[in-house]
Amino acid sequence: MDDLTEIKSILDTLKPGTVISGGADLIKSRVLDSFTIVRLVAALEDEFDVEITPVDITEENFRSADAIKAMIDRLRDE
Amino acid sequence: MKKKRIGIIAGCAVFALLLSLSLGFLTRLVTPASNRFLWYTYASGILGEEEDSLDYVVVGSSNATAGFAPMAIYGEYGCAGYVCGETLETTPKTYLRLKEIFKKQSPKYVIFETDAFYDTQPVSNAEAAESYLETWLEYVWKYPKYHNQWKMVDPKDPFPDKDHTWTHVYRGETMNFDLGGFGETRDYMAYSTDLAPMRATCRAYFKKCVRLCRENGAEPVVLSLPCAKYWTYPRHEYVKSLAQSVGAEYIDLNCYLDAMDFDGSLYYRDDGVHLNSPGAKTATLFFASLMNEKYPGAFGASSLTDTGYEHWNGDYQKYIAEFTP
Amino acid sequence: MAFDSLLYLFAFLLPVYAVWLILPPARKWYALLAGSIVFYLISSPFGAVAVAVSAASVYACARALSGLDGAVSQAKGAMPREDAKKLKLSVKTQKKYIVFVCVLIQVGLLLLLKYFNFFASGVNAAADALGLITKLPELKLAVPLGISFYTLQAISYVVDVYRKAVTAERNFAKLLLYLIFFPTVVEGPICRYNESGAKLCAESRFDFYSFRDGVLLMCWGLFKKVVIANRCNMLVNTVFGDRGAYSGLIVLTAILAYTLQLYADFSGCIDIVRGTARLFGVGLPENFDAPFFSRSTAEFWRRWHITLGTWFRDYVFYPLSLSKPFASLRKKTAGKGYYADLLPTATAMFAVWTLTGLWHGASLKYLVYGLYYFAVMLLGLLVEKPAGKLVKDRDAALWRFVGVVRTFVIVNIGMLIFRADTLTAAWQMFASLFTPYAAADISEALVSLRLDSWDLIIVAVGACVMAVYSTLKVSGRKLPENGTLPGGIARAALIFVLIIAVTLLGAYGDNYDAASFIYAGF
Repeated sequence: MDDLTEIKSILDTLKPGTVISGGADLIKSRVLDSFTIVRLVAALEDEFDVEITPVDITEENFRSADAIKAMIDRLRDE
Repeated sequence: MKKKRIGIIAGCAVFALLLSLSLGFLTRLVTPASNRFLWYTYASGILGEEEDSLDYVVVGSSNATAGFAPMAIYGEYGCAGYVCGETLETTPKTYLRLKEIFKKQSPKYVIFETDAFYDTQPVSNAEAAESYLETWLEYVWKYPKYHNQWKMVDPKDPFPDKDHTWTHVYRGETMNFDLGGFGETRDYMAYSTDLAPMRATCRAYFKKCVRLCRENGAEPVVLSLPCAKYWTYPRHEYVKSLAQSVGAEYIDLNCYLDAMDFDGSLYYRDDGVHLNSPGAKTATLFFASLMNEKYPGAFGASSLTDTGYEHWNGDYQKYIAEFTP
Repeated sequence: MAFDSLLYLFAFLLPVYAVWLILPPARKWYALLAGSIVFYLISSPFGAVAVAVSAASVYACARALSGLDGAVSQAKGAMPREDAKKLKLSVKTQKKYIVFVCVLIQVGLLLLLKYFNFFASGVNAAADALGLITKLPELKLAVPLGISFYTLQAISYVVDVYRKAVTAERNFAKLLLYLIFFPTVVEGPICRYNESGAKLCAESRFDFYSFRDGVLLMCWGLFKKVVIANRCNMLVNTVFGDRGAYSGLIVLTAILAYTLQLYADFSGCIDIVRGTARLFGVGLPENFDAPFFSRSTAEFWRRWHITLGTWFRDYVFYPLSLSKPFASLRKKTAGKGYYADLLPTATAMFAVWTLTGLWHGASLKYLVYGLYYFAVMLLGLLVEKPAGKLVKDRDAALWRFVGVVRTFVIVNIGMLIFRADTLTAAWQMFASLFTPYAAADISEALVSLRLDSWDLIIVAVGACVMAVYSTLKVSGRKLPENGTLPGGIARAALIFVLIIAVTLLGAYGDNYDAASFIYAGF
């Protein structure tokens, strides 16, 4: 499957039934709190073989599934 | 944009005006009409005494109001006086108080109790500065001092007439017969060559007080009541030199404990800070007799006014009655 | 000096503001720096040395890190690929070493100046148990003002430079201002350099609306502190100081009063701080966001002392959780079930809460305080999955209400631990909550607590006003500080009312000061 769908399925494993669209706000709707973010990051690192450091954990990067995809793409290019 | 600026300035001016008017109104509302509530505890009773009826005034902190007995002197010598002090008072506040007192009284002596010369608890520079600012504010604006009096305002008579006739039956002394259980035998007045300097503001204000006294025809006297917990020889030495420098008599009762037959276990109401009433009586009478030795007639029968002292006699009987169990 | 003192408001702030007004826009920050230095020297003259060492070390290390990064990017074009890669690796190691040493210096200073006696007593106790004679002395060290706050800011700055989130500041004075800015150095908020640091030194101009809103915030903060918090203080001090004497109902009242007092005092001070900064055109982050509307303890700590929570999250929790040892732990526990999966998170949380507890104070009580919240939140994580199965709609009004009440109770117990003199005292007071409540006690107790019915009414009304404010905030209505209220007249009216309320109803002066309180009974 493509990256965005993969990201959404990871999110769904962590917080079942909460992520609907690529643009849905994950921070404001409190889907992502610090505990979930840590597990999400671990899963993303495994799946996409990138290194996500604390400096990458910002609201902009994790605001939505689309934002996460953009961050992964950027990290891949580095 | 000029219109906006004018609007802002005008708005601020209106705001300032409304605020000043409101605060002025509130000041009038909360300032007590009776002199009973002007100062802490019984100190403001002095403002209710008849004009020019006091021969001496004692100023200081709670040590003074606990440990000085004006009624004892009245009973012994017929000499009228008042002890005027607030808890944790220091000399800047004493200065303000004396200014008020001299408006109505012309005492021969103003006696400064030295507990007001030093901070009881160590205070930081910031705290001391804050306390000084508060005292100064109290002098220029009554509202912050009396703001809490709004609770006592009578809705039917919110602005009663000024009534400065209240006076305290024991002339400022807080009567107390507790035994604090003070039994320490350590010599707190052990000789030492150190000097314990006063805070600069306290010293400066003491000197201002002395000047004020002399301007009003009163002779300053410095007195240290027995205070085992806080008084030390370094403090004694410092105050002695300060008193000398302003030409004031200094009597330190902590040096006369044997001569007074002073028994700490009987005469302190707490752990060595405040005297109880028997202790106050002993210390006060000894002080007066010492003064009369050095300055004959210092504490003699009052001759300032011709009005009778009947109410003083009545109050003296009440004072004596306190001592009978 | 206290933020609600005459000294701060009139003898300090006014002159600093006057100087700030006079200076040209690009140099106005000099007034802030000078004011901050004076403020620091008045409050903590001996601590100034420690601050200087912290500031200097952080400045030097950040410049070094920046220099190394510069070398790498220069080399990228100039060297062959293999050499550039080697350089990058060696620089990475050097940078790690520099950051490590720098953080060690900051933490070392903090441990020495604030925590030495705590550790010494622990070591001495152990030595006693082992029968050893030599003991560590108890040092009488002056704890520098705000060391717990500026140390965290210093660490965040150097770590942010390491992570390249921030460029190293070349002007030492600007960095120093960030660390000791007088409104924030006492109680926070804990600011990040890329948010507030640069803003402090930016060009600025007098703006009437900023000025007005700053004054409004300060008045609101003063109201909370002087009218509500200072009033509660008398009752709280009496009961916590002589806990044996009071029945369960009074103890309960005292705990609730302390929660109100701490919230009003702390958030009030933060409002004064933010209002002061607003006068100078500087925006500071919020530290409180209607915390008592939280549905869980985890949420509470995202709404209470916000900047502390985010600091520990960004500089302890995430780095730990994403570090290599934790990653390998996670690999080992992956797939072994929900609870095994939680182990890395729980361990990181344990570290965070141990440190958070100790950060609040150098004693065992505060450590227990931190671990109490760790236990509560761990429990929350553990029951999350089963609870999710039992309760279908977690957002239903009933469950929201249950969550708010439950969190409130948990927080109050935490406050009891926080305020009690010792852990034993906290336990005794907690136990006394279950003793029979005697009605006769109450009116006597109130008299001895030197509060009259007016005081209680004012506290109650004040608490309601605060609750209304928080409700408005939570419901997203526009408030003076985060939006546009209709017209300057409404704000001017609010300032007017608050000034009257603070000066008339404030718990200051005779009847409320420590002196009259201690020497009561004349």
